[in-house]
Amino acid sequence: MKVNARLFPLIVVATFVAFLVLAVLLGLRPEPGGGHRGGQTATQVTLLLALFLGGVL
Amino acid sequence: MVRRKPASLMTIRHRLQAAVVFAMFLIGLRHVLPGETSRGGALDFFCPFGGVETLLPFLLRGDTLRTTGLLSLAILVAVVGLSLLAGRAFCGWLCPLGAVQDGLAGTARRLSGEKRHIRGKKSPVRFPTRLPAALDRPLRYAKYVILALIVLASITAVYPPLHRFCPVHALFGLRLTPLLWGVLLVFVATSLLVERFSCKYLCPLGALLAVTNRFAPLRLVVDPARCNQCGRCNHECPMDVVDPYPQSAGADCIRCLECLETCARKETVTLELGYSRRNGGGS
Repeated sequence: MKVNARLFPLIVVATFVAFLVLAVLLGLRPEPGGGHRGGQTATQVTLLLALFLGGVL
Repeated sequence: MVRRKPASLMTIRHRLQAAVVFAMFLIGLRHVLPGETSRGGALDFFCPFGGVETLLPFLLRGDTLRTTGLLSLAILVAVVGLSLLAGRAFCGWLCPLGAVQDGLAGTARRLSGEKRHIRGKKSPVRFPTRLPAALDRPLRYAKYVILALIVLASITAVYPPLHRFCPVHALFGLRLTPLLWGVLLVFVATSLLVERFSCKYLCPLGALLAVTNRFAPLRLVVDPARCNQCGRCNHECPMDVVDPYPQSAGADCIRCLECLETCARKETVTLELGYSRRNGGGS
């Protein structure tokens, strides 16, 4: 099945974000009380990626 | 009202790469600013290769290596998930090291005297160059050796084995040890001399993702009946994988789509989902 090449950047970013969110939801996130302020870090990653998706594409 | 021309695919790619580099710069900056408790290890948290390094210790001992964490594994899952669909697209579109190397290749062209790059035309300048085939082919296996050594070393490690000489730390860590200065120098010099040197020969994450190129369903397909082997795509391919068509199922294609964007013949190089019987770029 042919795919419009102009959709490729969207596919790449959306797939990356989807798997990242899935992994975080499945529990792969920094431990509470750890040195890296887990929840805050995870939120930052999600916000950064959302920024790429919205701002760049 | 004047309607704006949509940005080309390569413009979008370069913007996305610039955004990733900027984000990495912010992450690096955050951990050197006064008042932060981190000691600079947090870059490993955001590095998918930190996930590779900490995977075996996590599975064997139930604990991650220092300076890495479960977030490293989450980012590794995202990168591998993407590569299961689109092969090494992460390398071509989202990797900050790849983005910096693309920028340095452009800088090398300008420093070598190229005034304007014409897409598809062989550049008259000397750098970035390509290594001779006799050197290029065996060197491409080096990244697999590096990956194997790092994974083995990670079993007994406390810190990630690559931590002290990681190019991500050298570029974005903002706290450089003498060793990291050396890494930075070598990284910049090799990237100026050979396009995507690190991706072709050294990157262990690229070695890991290369496996998925073989079966990732979203791939470039070349119609040999339409292709006249003009070589335009070969001049643009940063990974040098056009032989005689773009080899998207080979280990080194990073799905940057430079070949698709450069091809002058309509419908010769297409992006397809699934497995075509036509020349699927070497499949």
